[in-house]
Amino acid sequence: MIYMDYAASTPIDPRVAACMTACLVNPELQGNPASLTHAFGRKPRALIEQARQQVAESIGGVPAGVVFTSGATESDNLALFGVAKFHEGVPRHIISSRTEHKAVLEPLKRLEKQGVKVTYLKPDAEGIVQPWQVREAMTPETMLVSLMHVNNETGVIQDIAAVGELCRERGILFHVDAAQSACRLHIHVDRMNIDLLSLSAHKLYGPKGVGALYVRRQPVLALEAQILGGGHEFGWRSGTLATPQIVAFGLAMQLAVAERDADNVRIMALRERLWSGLQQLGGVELNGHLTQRVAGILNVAFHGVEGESLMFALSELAVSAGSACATGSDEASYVLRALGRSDQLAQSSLRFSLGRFSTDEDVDAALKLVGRELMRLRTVALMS
Amino acid sequence: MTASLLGFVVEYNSRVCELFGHLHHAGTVDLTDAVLNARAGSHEQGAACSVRVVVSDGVIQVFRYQAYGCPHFLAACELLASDLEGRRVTEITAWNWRAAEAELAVPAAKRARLLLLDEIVTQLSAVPVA
Repeated sequence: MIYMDYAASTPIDPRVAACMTACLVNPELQGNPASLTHAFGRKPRALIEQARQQVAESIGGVPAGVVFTSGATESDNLALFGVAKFHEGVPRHIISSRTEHKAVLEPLKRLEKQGVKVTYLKPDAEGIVQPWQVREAMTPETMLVSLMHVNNETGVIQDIAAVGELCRERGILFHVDAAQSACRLHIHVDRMNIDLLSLSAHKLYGPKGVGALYVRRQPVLALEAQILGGGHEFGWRSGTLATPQIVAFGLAMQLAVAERDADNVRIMALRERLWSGLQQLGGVELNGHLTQRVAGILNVAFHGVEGESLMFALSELAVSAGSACATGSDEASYVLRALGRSDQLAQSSLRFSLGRFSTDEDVDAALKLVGRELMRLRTVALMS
Repeated sequence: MTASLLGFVVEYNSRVCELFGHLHHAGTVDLTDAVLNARAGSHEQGAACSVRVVVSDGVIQVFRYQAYGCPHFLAACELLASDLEGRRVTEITAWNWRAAEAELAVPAAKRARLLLLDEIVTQLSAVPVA
C-alpha cells in the first residue's frame, strides 16, 4: 500500500509520537492541568504552556492568543459562530468562498438560517479568489471574511496577506483556515493581518484530536465561546486540556517550521516527478493553478475513465477521489465544480498528496500502478 | 472490499472484485463480423455500454462489450457477457438483471445502471438473426 493522502492526514512523526507516548506514561503528568494546587497539575500545565509558546512562535503570534481545540473543524466553528453570536442583534454579513472546507461552509449555512447574509465568492478556473473580489463584496454590514489559506483538494494558495490588508483597512475581522498551510507555508498572523487562524495537528505530523484557534489579542477581539464550562482557554473553550496531544502538537508545530523549507524542496521534487510521469500517460489535466500551489498536493483529472472504477482499481494506492458517485448520488467534488470542471471530469479526478515520508520509490510504484490500471480501464472504456 | 469516496464507504463483494479484476470479455469485434449490436446509457448518466455479438448457427460465439461506469456496472457487464457467450441466441431474454443485482450485491441507488443492461438485452433480442 502506498500512502499518498497527506492532505487528509499526515502520519505522526516518530519524534512527536515518542514525545506524546512519554507524556502519556509519565506518572507525574497524570493530573488535570487546571489543578494548579499540586505538582500533578502544575507539571502538565507547564508543558501545555510550552506547547502554547511553540504554536504561537510558529505563526508569529503571542501565546495568549492560542486557544487549544479538538482540531480545525472546531476552530472554524468557534471562529464563525463565535463572531456571529457576539454581533447578534445587528445586520451581519460574512464573505467566504465556494471552495472552503465543509467545516466552514456548514456553519455558514446554519448562520444563513439564523439571518446572517453570506457572500460566497467564486474562484477563477484555477481556484484563485482575487483580493478585488473580496473588496467588491464588502458592505458596511460585513463583520467577517473567512478564507482558507490552501485549498485541501487542489493545493491552491490564496493571497491571504492581501485580503488581510483589505480587512484591516476596513475594520473587518479576518479568519483563515490554515489546516493545510501550517506545515507548508510561512504564516505570520500579525504581518498578514489575520485575526483568527484555525490549525490542526494531524495535518502537520501531529496527533489527531487536537488543534487550535489563534485569536488576535490586541486590540481585543469580539468572540463568544461556544463550549461552556469551567472557563478554560481564556474562557473561549471550556474542557479539560488533553496534555499528551497538546504537547505533541507543540512539538509538531516546532518541527514543521524548522523543517519546512527542506521538506518543501524535497516534496516539490517528488510532486514534479509524479506529475511528469502522469503527463506521460496522456489524457490527464491538472486541477488548480499551475504554480500558485503548495508542494505536496497534486489534483489530476483523468480523461476517459470513470472515477469510482479508477479509485477501485487503484486500491493499493491511498489517494482521495473527487467523487461520491458510489452512493448513487453522482455528486462530484464541489470544489472542482466551482472551478468549472464538468461533473464527469470532477468525478474522474484524484488528489495525490505527498509529505515528509514520501519517497522516490513511492512515486515510481504509484506511477506504475496508475499506468497499468489506466490503460486497462481505458481499453474497456466506451468513449462518449 | 471497500473504497472511500468523499467520505462515503462503498462495499464491493468478492464477486465484483473477481469480475472487475478480470474483464475478459471487454473489447470489440469488427462491425462487419458483428451480427448483433446494442448500446445504452451515456457518460452523463454515469454508465454506458456498447456490445457486439457474433452469432453462428444460432449460438453466441463471441460477446464483447465496451463500458463506462462504476465497478458494479463493469462487473455486471462482464457477468452479462460470460453468461450469454456460448448460449443460444434465443436464450438472450433469459438473462435477468435482478439475478445480477443479487449476485453482485448492487446498491439500490445503482439499480438504474443495471436497467441499462436490461435495455441491451432487449435490443439484442429484438434483432432478427438469419
